[in-house]
Amino acid sequence: MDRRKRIEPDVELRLFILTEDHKRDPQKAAAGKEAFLTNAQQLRREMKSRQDKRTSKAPVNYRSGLAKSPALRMMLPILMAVALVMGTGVVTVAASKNSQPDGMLYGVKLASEDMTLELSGDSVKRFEFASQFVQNRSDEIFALIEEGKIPSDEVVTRYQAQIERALKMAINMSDDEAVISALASLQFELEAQKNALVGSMFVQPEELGVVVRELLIMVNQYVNVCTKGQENLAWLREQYQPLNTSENTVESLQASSTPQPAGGNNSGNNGNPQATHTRTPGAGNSQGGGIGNTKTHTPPAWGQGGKDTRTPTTTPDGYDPTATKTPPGQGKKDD
Amino acid sequence: MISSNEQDLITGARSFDLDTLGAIYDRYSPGLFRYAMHLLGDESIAEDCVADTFTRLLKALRNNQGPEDHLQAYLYRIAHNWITDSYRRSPPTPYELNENHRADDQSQPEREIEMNIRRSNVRLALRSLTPDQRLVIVLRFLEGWESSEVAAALDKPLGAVKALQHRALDSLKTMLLPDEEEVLHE
Repeated sequence: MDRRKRIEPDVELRLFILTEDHKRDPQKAAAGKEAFLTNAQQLRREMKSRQDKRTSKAPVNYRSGLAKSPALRMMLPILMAVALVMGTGVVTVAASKNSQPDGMLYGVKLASEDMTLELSGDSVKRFEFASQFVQNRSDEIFALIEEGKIPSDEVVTRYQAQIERALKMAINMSDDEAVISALASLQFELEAQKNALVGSMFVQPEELGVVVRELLIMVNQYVNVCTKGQENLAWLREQYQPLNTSENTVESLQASSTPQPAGGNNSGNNGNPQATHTRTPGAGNSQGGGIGNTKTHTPPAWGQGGKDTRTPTTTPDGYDPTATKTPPGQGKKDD
Repeated sequence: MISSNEQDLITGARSFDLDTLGAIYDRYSPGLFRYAMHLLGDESIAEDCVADTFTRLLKALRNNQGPEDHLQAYLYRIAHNWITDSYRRSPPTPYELNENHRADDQSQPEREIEMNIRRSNVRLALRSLTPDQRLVIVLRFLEGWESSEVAAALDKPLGAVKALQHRALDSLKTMLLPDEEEVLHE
């Protein structure tokens, strides 16, 4: 039985106009499937590596360690008193989880994230947290975009710094397989964020759209770093020197949250101090060969170089974000 | 041979079996693409929607979440949320005439333009429904789903789906029927 017969005939007639055969480009469908299965493969590898790590480690009895340490035993009453005072702190930290960059509790949120990182001794866990915090920064930016607000330089550089930190933590993993797995996982997260940015490329007002496109270029470059890093770990390690423990802490993120000084790569705009706060997509990050040509690592894309074109251009690696979609009203076909 | 049973597909997907995941993509992506095209009318954005839907499925599976049953309904719910977000992100674009509409021997440009205006109006009307009403209308009347299947996709009781459908049809009648001819001939 034709179920459409049950609808009000007049409305049906008008809805029926949308039911024409939407032919899907078979090449795009095949590419979509391949991308999906590649993502699945990466995730499977990541999960397997995590599982192997868990099974290879003997369980640690923290309580017995605590009981054996005389110093800790003496400090126990003090710790308990501190814990009591901090009870209210816990409530504050919990309340800060959803706070946004302009919120009163945002500082608490960042501090609690740093604390979480510092307290997690395992490098896998530490990377997972760092990766989650990249997602948090991305969510904050999308919350602003949805409200039509332009993310400030500080918000964007904090996002970039968090990606850098996750990358460094990936490199800090114990063995190559774990590094590759972590990079695959980070790449997966960043690709999802990139896709979301693609969806917001032409958001209004135009100034916000420009920022989104610049962000897209930046995130895409980090996706490329992850891809290239999985193929060539030596190159990645050269770009990102392994961290010592203190670099994982609050100071390191705060230091890297400052907009990067100009250039340092291969462009002709190196070192223009006036350009520190100028957003220049891709500029200053190699005019001859992309991220891979540098000896010292310089974060891609944000706040580098000295020329503010404010126009999204093809990035050094050849990615053209404007090629992804047709801007509304410019040859956009209805069907 | 991959089982066509949804429960088997979910079990295979949970263990990240690539053959099963491939089968899931082959089975559901054409419908999801069609669904996205109905509402978005843009091939490239519809492909983005499909890609993100499957990415979100993987993420959910990785976190030991995802569907326990009704895999198809689960995927449509993700796509539905994606489209609702996409509506929030970008304002509706009214249909515009462009240079591509030139008369030639085969096509009838006036008819094509009229059809495009009508499609645009229907999409605008669907867009102005609540997200749940829109999902009910598209799945019931464009995709031909049973009410019980729609209820699974929405995770709502059957009665609630029928109420949503009733209200949505009322709204669509108000929006689409009275003034359409006027709009077309303005």
